Amino acid sequence: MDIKLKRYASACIIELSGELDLYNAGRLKEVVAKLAARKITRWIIDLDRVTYIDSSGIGALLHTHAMTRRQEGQLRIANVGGTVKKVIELTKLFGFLPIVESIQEAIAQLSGAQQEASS
Amino acid sequence: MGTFAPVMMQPRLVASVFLLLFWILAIVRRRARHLLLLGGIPLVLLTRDVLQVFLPHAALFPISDIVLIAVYLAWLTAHSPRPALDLSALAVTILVAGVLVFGRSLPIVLHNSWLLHALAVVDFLYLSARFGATDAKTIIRPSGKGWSAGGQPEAEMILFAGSAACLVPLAVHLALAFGWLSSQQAVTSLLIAFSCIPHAFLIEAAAGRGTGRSETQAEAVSGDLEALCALMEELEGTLREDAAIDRILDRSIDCAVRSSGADAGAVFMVSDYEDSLSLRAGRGAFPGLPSATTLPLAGTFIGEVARGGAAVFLPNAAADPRWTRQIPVGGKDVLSIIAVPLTVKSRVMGVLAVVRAIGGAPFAEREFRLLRVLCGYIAHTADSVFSHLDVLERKGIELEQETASAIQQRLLPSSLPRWLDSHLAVYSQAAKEVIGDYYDILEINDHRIGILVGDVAGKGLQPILAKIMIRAIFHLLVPPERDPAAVLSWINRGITGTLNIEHYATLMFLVYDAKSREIICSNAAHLPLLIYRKDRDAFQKVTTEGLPIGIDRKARFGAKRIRLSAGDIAIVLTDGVIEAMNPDGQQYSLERLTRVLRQAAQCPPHEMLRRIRADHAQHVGVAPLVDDQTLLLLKVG
Repeated sequence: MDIKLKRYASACIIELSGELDLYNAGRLKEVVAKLAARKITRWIIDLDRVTYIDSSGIGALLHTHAMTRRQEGQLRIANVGGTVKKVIELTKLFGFLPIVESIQEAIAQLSGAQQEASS
Repeated sequence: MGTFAPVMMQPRLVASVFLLLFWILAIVRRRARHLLLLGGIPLVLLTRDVLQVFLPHAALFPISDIVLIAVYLAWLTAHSPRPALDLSALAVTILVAGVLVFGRSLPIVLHNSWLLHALAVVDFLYLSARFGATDAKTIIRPSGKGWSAGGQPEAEMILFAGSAACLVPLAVHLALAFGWLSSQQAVTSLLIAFSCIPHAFLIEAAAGRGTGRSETQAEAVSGDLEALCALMEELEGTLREDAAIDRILDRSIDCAVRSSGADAGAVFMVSDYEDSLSLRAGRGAFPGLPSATTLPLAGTFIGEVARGGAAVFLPNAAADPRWTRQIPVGGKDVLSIIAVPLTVKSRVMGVLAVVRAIGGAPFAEREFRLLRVLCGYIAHTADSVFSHLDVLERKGIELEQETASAIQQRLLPSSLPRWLDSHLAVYSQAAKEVIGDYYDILEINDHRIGILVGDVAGKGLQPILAKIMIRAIFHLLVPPERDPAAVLSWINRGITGTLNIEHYATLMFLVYDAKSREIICSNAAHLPLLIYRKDRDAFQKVTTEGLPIGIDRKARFGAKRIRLSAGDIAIVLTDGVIEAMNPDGQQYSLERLTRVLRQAAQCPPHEMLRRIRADHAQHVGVAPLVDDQTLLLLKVG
């Protein structure tokens, strides 16, 4: 699995591609830990290029969600489709995880959340 | 004999013999074999002077001068590392020498002998300017540590020769002009005799510098080898103590800075996720640090070196646009810089860079070569450390998995109530690296059982701990608690927050009452309960609301009651069964499972299970097991 980071304003877009499974889930956790250490706590996880996800991959998303809460940050998970969507629906986590349709929607929501926090 | 003594008393003959002896002594004393070619000088001079005594001819001097120049040029070409450069620098000198040799009979010269001296002075000034200029440091590279190889000794000799060639005759003419010398012939003889002195100095300079240069080359190789061995010893010691990559890089930059005589140095490693480099070790005041510990790959000198993958040496950084394009803080104090990428099999892992500050001497080719050698070793050592850590991690996981597998066996129920034999069949197979599945069956009373089937995410000991907790709470609650939703709720409250959230569990808990032929089930995001209705020969899926266990302490779970008929079959499974792939990557699928079940529906549960497992094994073939598989069949009697 490849991970690419892109900065957008005060948020970081984490682009995943490949398989988010038992063998790669740890890398996502490492990345968010490094971002948190650099005080970057607004994350958008882009699953557009993820071809497969298993329970460990779901676990890594849950871990990231829990970290965001601890850091008082913001998380959005965008471009959830295909088999990834089926697995998340099967585990009934669609309503639990902060899933949005697209990166643009995620950015808009994070910008709105930032404005609320500053006002 | 009578004429021999007076002949030998000729000053120029004495000087030539002296020069010949001087040359022989230089070779013997210094073992300077490279001087052999210069032996042509005293031999030519001696031959000329002997012939001048016995067979005087005006052409002797021009011819001997031409031969002398040819000997010097041949020697320079043979021993200079940049013969073309040195010869081009001597072009003016050769031109002046040509005028001196062939032009002295020209009327304009005969009547203006000062012209020759003026030309020699001009040549001397040209040589000084040429070799003394800053941009001529390709030939002259003064260094506090001694002469460096590459032409400097030759340049020094050329300057000396030029100065002697014009100053000696100038001094003689001045002496004549002021009346300090009276005889023209005596002056000429003395002049010719004294002209051997510059040749002697040249031979002496070549002997000393030449052997010095050879020693410098040998010393340079020896020094580089010493530096490499010191690095190897340093890193080997560090690896034995602690195979931490940052310690390795720290010792590496320390060795690199010391070996190259740098004022500061740093090692940057390329990020796995971003187009940037991060500082991992440093010595001294490296430009741009510590204000920035990460550098982008684009737009910075170090980043461009990493992207290009080739070592870069800037002897004069201030004059090089690669450095001046974007000078980091403190960069203006940099005199020269060497940056070498740390590369293994064309993959650039990072960059090691060293700098020298203004006020000192710039780096030389030698330091550049040395650092390329050292960085090759550092890169392979760092790569070995990364590979070693991967192996350790895998070994650690394997050990953890072996432990988890042993514990797993002890968690599974060892025996079932006897009245269930004709009703229930179950199998569970753990994959090598997973062991996430869990099932348990507890007898509530003589006609009622509680069945728990689950799948814990992740690998290693953490899922095992989760299963131990689930089992403990399950055995605590059941009996007397028979409400599946309540059981899941209690399990969830016990697990959530105790383990990492990524080790959540999907669970299905159902209570089967054999007398009333009822199932009450509650599902925490597990695969739906599958019911085969015999009368309709159809399958029905049953699920309830509920998040996976271990995510939200306040999660609520639903429950459903299902009435069954004789011959109906309840199937509980984990996703490893239907997602198992054959060598072509095709999943077993729920459709195939239900097809086999329908065909075997008349059989007792154990026979049904046997047929399903046989069909499953036929599908999977030699493909490896990547996930646990658990399948429980409950047939209503």
